[in-house]
Parts: sequence; C-alpha cells; structure tokens
Amino acid sequence: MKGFLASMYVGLQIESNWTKRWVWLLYLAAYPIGSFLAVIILYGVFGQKTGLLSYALYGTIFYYSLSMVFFDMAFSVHDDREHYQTLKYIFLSSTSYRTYLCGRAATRYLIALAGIAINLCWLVPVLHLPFQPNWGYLTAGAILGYLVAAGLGLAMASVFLLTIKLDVDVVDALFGGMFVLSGALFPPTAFPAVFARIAEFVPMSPFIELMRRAVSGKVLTSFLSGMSTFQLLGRVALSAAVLFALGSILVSFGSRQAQRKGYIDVTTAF
Amino acid sequence: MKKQLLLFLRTLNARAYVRIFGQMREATWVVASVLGGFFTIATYVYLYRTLGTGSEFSGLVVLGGFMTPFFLNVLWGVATQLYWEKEMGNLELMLVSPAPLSAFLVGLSVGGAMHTMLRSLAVLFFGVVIFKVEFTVLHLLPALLVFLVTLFSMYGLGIVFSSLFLYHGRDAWRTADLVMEPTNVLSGSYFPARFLGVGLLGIAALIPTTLGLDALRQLLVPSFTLRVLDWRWELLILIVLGVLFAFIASWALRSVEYKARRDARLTLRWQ
Repeated sequence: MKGFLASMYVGLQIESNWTKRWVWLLYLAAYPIGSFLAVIILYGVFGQKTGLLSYALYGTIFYYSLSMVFFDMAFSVHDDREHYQTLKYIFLSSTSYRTYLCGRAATRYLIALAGIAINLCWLVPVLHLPFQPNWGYLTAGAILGYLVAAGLGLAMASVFLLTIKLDVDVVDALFGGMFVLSGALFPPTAFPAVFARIAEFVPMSPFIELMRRAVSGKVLTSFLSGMSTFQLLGRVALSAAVLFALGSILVSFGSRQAQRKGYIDVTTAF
Repeated sequence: MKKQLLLFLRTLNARAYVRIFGQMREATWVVASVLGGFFTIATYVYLYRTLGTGSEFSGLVVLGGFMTPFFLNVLWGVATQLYWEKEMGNLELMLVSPAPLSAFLVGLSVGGAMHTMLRSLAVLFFGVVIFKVEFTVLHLLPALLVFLVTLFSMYGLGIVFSSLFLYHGRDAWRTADLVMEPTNVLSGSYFPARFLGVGLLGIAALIPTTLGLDALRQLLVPSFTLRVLDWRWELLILIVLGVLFAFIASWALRSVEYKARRDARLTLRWQ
C-alpha cells in the first residue's frame, strides 16, 4: 500500500509539476473537452431528432476515463525507459513494477474523473442531460472500471517491456478499435449483425453502459437493455477480475523477461 | 552563397532520408498508424449512419481521415521535434554543427510529409474499398495543387510551433496534447467546417487543414454543397497563410534560438 501511494504521488508530480497550480487546474478542466467536442457538434447539428446526445456524451467521457489509464500504463514504460531513463531505478526499488504502474495510472484516472466531474457541472444544465445519479453504482462502477482498464494496460505494458521500438501508435490503434466497437459514441446496432454481437463482449461496453445508467438514471438505448443494472455490475466485476489477474500475470512475466534480456535500460532514441 | 545553399540542401536531404526510411524500418509503426486512422474513419462513418445523414458524409469523413495523419505528423513530428531532440541530447550536437536549423526542420517536414503520404493513402484506400465511397477525378489537378499548398501551409505552421517548443519544455508538450483533439475537430476533419458558425470558423481558418479540406471536398466529393468559400479563394488564402507562416517561422526560429541560448535552455532536459 505504501508503494502504491508513493507511485500515486509520483504520478501526480509527473502530471502536475510542469506548471503553476492554477494553470494545471485549468488544464485539468479543459483536457476532457477534446474528447466530447465532436460529439456536441455532430449530435447538435445532425442528431437532435435521434435523442442520442446523452448516450453518446456519457459514453465518450467514460471511455475517455478508461483510455487515460490504458494509455498511461503503456506509455509510462516507454517514458521511463527512453525519456527519463528511470526504469532501472524503479526496478531496483522495493515496490513491484505492477504496483508502480497501478499507482501512477490511478492518479491519472482520478485526474480524468475530476475533469469529467467539472465538465458535467456545465454540460448537464446547458445540454439538458438526464442526471439522476445512483452514487452506489457510480462508485462501484468507477472502481471496477479502473481495474478493467488497468488489466488491459498491464497487458499492454508487458508487451512494451519486451519490445524496444514498439510505438504508442499501437495503443492508439487498439483503443481506436475498441472505441468503435464498444458503443461509446453510437449504439452498435448501426454495425452489421456480427460486429453488433461482438460489441457486447468488448470489455469496455458493460462498464460504459453501467456508468451511463448510474449517472443518468435511465436506460438510454436498446444496447444491453436486456440486462439489469445489477447484472451489468456483475459483468463488469467479472471482466475486472479476469483482466486484472491476466494483466498482473503478464506484467510479472514481462518484467522478468525484460530483466533477463537487458531491456530495462535500453535506449534507442527513436 | 552557393556553399550555403548546398549545405542547406544536404542537411535537408539527410534529415528527410532518416524520416522517410527510418519510419519504414518498423512494420508495426506503419500498420498501427494505418489501423488507427482507419478506426477513426470507421467510427465517424458509422456515427453518420446512426444519425441518418446522406452517404456523401462518408466521403467527407474518408477525406478527413486522409488529412488527419498529416496534421498529427505536423504536431508530433515537426512542432515537438526540437523539444524531443533536446530531451534526447541531440540538439546540442545539431547546434554546434554548421548545418542550419531551418534546413533541419524543412527536411523533417519534407520527409514527414512523404512518409505520412503512404499511410494516408493506405487509409484512403481502405476507406474507399470498405465503405464504398465515391470520389470524382474530374478536378484531380486542382485538387493536387490544393493538397500540396495545404501541406506547405501546415508544415509552415509546424515549424512556427517548433520554435516555441524549443524554448518551452513539458508545458509545450502538454499544450500540444491539450490542443490536438480540439484542433482536429475544429479543422472539420469529421464534418463540414461550415457548421462551426462564423465565429469559430474565423479561428479554425487559421489552421490550414480547415480550408484545405473544404477545398478538397469541393473538388473530389461530387455531391458536396456545404462549402465555406469557393475553392479558388481558399487556395489563395492557403498560399497567403503558407507564405506568412514561412516568414514567421524563419523569424521565430532565429529569435527563439537566441533566447534559448541566452537563457541556457538548449541543454536543459526533463523540465
């Protein structure tokens, strides 16, 4: 726990000590806007009659919160090894690398959630979004969502540990693919039937739907409407347990192999 | 004069070579960037289908997907490059060499544009084949001219920003990260820029992609009627912007390099 908290503190310093505190707070509030700006413009111009604005907006911002964890974990391997050249010192410390990654990503997740909360303060009244939060589901969903994303992020980090020149574009592509399929931006019913079926099994889909319901108090579309909110919570919990366990195993394996192969302090300057 | 020109061209060639061939050495880089671009297109094509808009919007999105890699390359491959060279410890070596910094950046832009072209063409190809998008080739030559002028203008803007990023550190990197997605949205990559309204459009027009994309859509998408201005006017504005950015870039590079030397920030890493 001490190592986890210390890693969270490191994460906070990396995220915030590049500027003055008030500038960083503005940055924190402004950063998520990029994730939903297109949604507001597109649904505002073309989609007013569809009634899907709240579906897309909530979906996009909660997907954004997961992407921060996923991306941070994968990128921090590259960042610590190539850029700051501190990966070897992290491995020498008494904290396990998995704990370090989880701590850093937890800070990023909390920052993302804070940014979302700030933006919801104006989005809800201005866009008349349905807002009847169920705080129990929201809290449980947020914790489990972190574990889902952390599991995927740890798996990705293990790949980065074992490859020297892999670009973060790979993470972008993977997350781009899951973004399309997860139904974050539009109901997957727009897809051909096969893809619509696959969409239900993308690990992010139940989390996003759970958070939509938890924050709006409504079932917004027919996507996953056959499941109750409690069932959705159960499915997210199952995904979280499986993915986090898998990610932990992979990153432990990756760490050991990377040490053996001498990949911990390799720099390529690519 | 002849010697200086030769040195400029050799530096340009050397930097462009690394950008073009270095980026081809890792197959995963090419595949991942093409896949990333394709998924972005797919997202917006299906979104438009959900919204029930006309099929011409798929064409607009595919063209947007074609231009987006160039924008990303300008932002992350040119604008932030001097910052990364500083962080990697290469900048001091570049500055003590007789090669001009401007030639280095122009080479970076030429090389970046050429290697991004292959990825963009791949994204365009998959977009056309999978989403069955139709383009007209009646105005191919003017479209090519618009495209090249847009690139000239975009990379000029990239060089302007690279001077700023040379002086600043992590704050510049964070700023690039912050503005990336809003800029991409405002440039009309995913929808006709006309929907931004006059106020936002005035700001967005300073991003060369906005008018460049609008002109390309007029010339290549047969049913596109939601134009901002006639493509000829847009071409003229892009030429003016390109020349303006080139002048600003040249001035900014000199003055920021001087300022960075004076304040001892050229070798300052991890700040």
